[in-house]
Amino acid sequence: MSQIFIFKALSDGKVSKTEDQWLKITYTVLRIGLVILVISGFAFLLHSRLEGFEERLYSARTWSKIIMTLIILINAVLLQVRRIPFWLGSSVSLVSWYGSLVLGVWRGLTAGYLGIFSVYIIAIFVVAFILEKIRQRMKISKL
Amino acid sequence: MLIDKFMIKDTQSIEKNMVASIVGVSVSILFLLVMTVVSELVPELKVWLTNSFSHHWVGKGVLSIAVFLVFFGLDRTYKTKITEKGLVGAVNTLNILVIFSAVLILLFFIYEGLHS
Amino acid sequence: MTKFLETALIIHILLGLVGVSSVYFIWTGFLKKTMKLSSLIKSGWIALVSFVLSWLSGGYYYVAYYGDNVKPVIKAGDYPWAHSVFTETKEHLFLFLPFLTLMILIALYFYGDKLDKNEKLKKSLTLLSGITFFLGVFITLAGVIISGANR
Repeated sequence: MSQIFIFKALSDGKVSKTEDQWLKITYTVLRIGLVILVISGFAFLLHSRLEGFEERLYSARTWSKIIMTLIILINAVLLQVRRIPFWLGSSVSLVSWYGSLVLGVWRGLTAGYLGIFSVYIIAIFVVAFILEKIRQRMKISKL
Repeated sequence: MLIDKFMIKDTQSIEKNMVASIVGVSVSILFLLVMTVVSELVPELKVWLTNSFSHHWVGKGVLSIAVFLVFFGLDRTYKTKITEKGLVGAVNTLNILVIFSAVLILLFFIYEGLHS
Repeated sequence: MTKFLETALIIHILLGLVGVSSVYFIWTGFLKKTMKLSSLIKSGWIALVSFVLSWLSGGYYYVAYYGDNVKPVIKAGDYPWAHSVFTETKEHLFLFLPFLTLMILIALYFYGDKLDKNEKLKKSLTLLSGITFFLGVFITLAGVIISGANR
C-alpha cells in the first residue's frame, strides 16, 4: 500500500500536504505492524519453548523469518538515510514483508536456507523490475 | 516531570550531568568487562561474588550499579567545564568502548567454549 | 516450571522486546532532520523501564531455575555451546543495556533541545542508539538459541 501511495503522490512530480499526511499515516501503520510482527513472532517462539517444541526454534523457516524481519528494520533505516537506492530498498521491503508472511503461514515448508534465500533474492530483483515498469508507466521521475 | 524538581537546567548543570553520565556509564561497562573476564579466570572471585550476593551474576549487576553511582557522583562534583567538542569526543569514546567490550566478551566466551 | 517462573520468563522476553523496539524508535528518531523530542523521551523511559524489569524478571528466572534445570540439559545435549557461548555472553551483555539506555535518556532529557543544531553530537548519539539496538537484537537472538537448545 505504501508503495502505491508513494507512486500516486509522485505521479504529478510533487508531494502535496494531503499526500504527505497520507504517507505519514501509512508509515505509522507500518511501524505498528512491525511491532505486532515482532511481538507475535516471539510469542509463537515462546509458546514453542513452553509447550516442548524447542526444535522449531532451530528451524530454517524460523531463522529465515527472523532474518527477513531484521532486514525490514535495517532497510527502513537505510532508506531513511538514503544509503540504499529507492528502487532496491522498496523492493527489499515489499519482498521481506511478504516473505515473513509466507514463512509464518506455510507450516509444511521443508526448504532449507539456500532454497528460501535463493527465492528471496530472485524475488527482490523481479519485484524491483515490476516496480520500475510501474514507475515508467506512471511517468514518475527517478527517486 | 518529577525529575524537574530535582534538576536545575542551567547550561553548566546540563553539561555536568551529561559528562558525569558518560563517565559513569563508561566506567561501569569497563568494570563489567573486567569482572566478566577475571571472574572466569579467577574462580575465587566468582565464589566471593556468589557468597556475597547469592549469585555471581547478581553481584556483577549490583556492583556495576554502585560503580556507576560512585563515578557519576564523583565526576559531577569535581568536573567543571567541558567544550562541545569534548562532549562529542566523550560519547564517541563510549561508543568505541561498548563495541570493544561486547566483542571482547563474545570472543572470550567463544574461546572458553572451545577450550572447555 | 512453576507458573510464576513461566510468567517471569514471559515478562522477561516481552519486556525485552518492548525495550529493543523503543530503542529502535529512538534510533530512527535521531536519524530524522527534526527530532520529535517528547516522543523520543517517552520511548527512552519505556526502554529503560522495560529493560530494568526484563533484567529483574530474567534474573529471577536465571538464578532460581535456569542454573539447576535448564543448564544441565543444554550442556548434556547436542548444543552445549548454546550455554557456554550464548548464555554466558548474553547474561553479561544484558547488563550493558540499562546503562546505555539511561545514557541516551539523559542526553535526550538534558540536551535534546540543542541536538538539532549540534550535528556532531547528534551523530554520536545516533551511533550509540544504533549500537544499543544491535546489542539488544543480539541478546534477543541469543535467547532464541538458548531456548532451542533446551531438549
